[in-house]
Amino acid sequence: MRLGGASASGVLLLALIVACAAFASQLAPGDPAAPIGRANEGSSAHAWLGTDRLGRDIFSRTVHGARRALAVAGTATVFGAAAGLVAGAASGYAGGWIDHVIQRGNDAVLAFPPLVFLLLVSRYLGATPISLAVILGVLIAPGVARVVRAAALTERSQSYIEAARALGASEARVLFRHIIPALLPVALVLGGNVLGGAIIADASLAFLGLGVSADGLSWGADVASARAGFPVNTAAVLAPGVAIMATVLAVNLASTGRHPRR
Amino acid sequence: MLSYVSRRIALSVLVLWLVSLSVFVLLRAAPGDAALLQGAPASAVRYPADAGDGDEVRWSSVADYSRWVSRILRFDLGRSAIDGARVADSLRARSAVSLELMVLAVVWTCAIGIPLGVFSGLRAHTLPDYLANGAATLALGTPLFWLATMVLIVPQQWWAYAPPLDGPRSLLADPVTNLRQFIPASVVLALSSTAGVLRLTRASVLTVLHADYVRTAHAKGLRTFDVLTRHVLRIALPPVLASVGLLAAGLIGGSVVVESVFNLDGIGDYFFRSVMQKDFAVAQAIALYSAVGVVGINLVVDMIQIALDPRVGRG
Repeated sequence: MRLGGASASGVLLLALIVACAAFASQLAPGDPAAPIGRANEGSSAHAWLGTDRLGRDIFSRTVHGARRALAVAGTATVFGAAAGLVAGAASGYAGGWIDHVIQRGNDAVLAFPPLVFLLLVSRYLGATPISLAVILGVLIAPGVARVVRAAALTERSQSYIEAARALGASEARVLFRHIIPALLPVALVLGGNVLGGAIIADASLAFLGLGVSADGLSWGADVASARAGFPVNTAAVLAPGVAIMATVLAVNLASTGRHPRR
Repeated sequence: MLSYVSRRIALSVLVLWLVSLSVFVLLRAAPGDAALLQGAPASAVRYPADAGDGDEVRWSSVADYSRWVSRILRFDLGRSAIDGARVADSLRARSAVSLELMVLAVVWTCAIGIPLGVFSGLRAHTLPDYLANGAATLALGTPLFWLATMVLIVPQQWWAYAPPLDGPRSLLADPVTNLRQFIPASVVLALSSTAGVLRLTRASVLTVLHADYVRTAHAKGLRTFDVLTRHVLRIALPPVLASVGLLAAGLIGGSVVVESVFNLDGIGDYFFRSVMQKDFAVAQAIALYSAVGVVGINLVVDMIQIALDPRVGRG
């Protein structure tokens, strides 16, 4: 796989952010959840970006926020793309009533207010980041399924599929051993394209107070918390915002130039 | 054309019925207390089944649903369970706010995104094109809630300026205050869609620009301007129009983030709160209102597309 300049810089930046998330506890100088000084301190050697209105270290919180953002958006994207891949491939390969049922199900999911979904999922999973990941995954799947279905329609008329069936392979075997592996690259590219949106959606819901874990570690929740203070601590708004933009930019750059081949 | 439209309208009625039914059922299947969403432990949450007081918290039944539908058909949206206000009145006031935001956001998106996109497409792979594309990439990665927050706090801290945040004013009664509130809010709302439209327009223009018939038009001596308006844009713009339609359809239900940050009481904020507080009458009315809006906008966009390119309507 050849990477262009923009793609390569995106991959590099993304690798850096993933490292931040993985080694957050080692990189962050202080405890992100406990106060380390007075409220709204300026930048100092002790707190690089100052402290927020509860006296917590902004830098540590921003580094730790990467963990949650990537975990929620990444989980949602992986499961959304996987579900979309299986549903889309089955829909396109099987055709007939299976196709109809899956496509109308897609439309229904897209037409429904996501907020009511979130309420429903929270009943079973609680107001956790896990609920958010589930919801975002459910919202990602239909778009992926639609494109994968279109690709499956062309794939099923390939001669190697005909050969597999002539050799007596069952429909399920053809689907899971031939069609789905052939469509995997399409789903991967689509997943890369929606990951940035998932990161923003997760932060936005956390900003509205939905699906924040007990330690409140989320870029979106941090902006909401900073906004509530008076006067507003600009550094506490700026840091998580820049972190979100950098992450989304990295993801989008890394996936530029990747288009589904079909 | 006529049969196409009537078929579409018949299908729309089906869609609206499905939306009404699923919202009705799912709202009641969701937890009885919005506290759960804000982090309360599951044990502290009461479910509708054991609450058992009043009409609003009872579990759904076919009779409840049919009563609600028959009231809706008589344009009676009921009253809010929280403040007792007539839903129709609140909906009227709040939809005016969200519609103004939507119209302004669509205007900014088209007025900035389309010309810049055409320009970018015509000057592809030059410095201005790269600048416009870079700005669009950055804009697409900017979260709405963060931008809205920054747009409020930066002028506040640098110039001690803030738009009036004490609730929306009417455009007709107090146009200056109204625009001071709605212009920053709608610009923030329009940013990412402007970037999206810019990119789409650029890509669309680029595809058409190298078509054989465009070369023919040039070759037969048409002025560049005429080639652009009559041959390139007529083909390049319908997909852009479709995406602007999607934007408008998405904004018909308001924007929770922008409405709450700028304290403009619109549909998005109203729906968010009604779902959180399980105010069934309000949530159902808004879901239906948004669905009607979305279906209507989609229909109008499709008809404009058929008018622009008759091939779309066939088959």
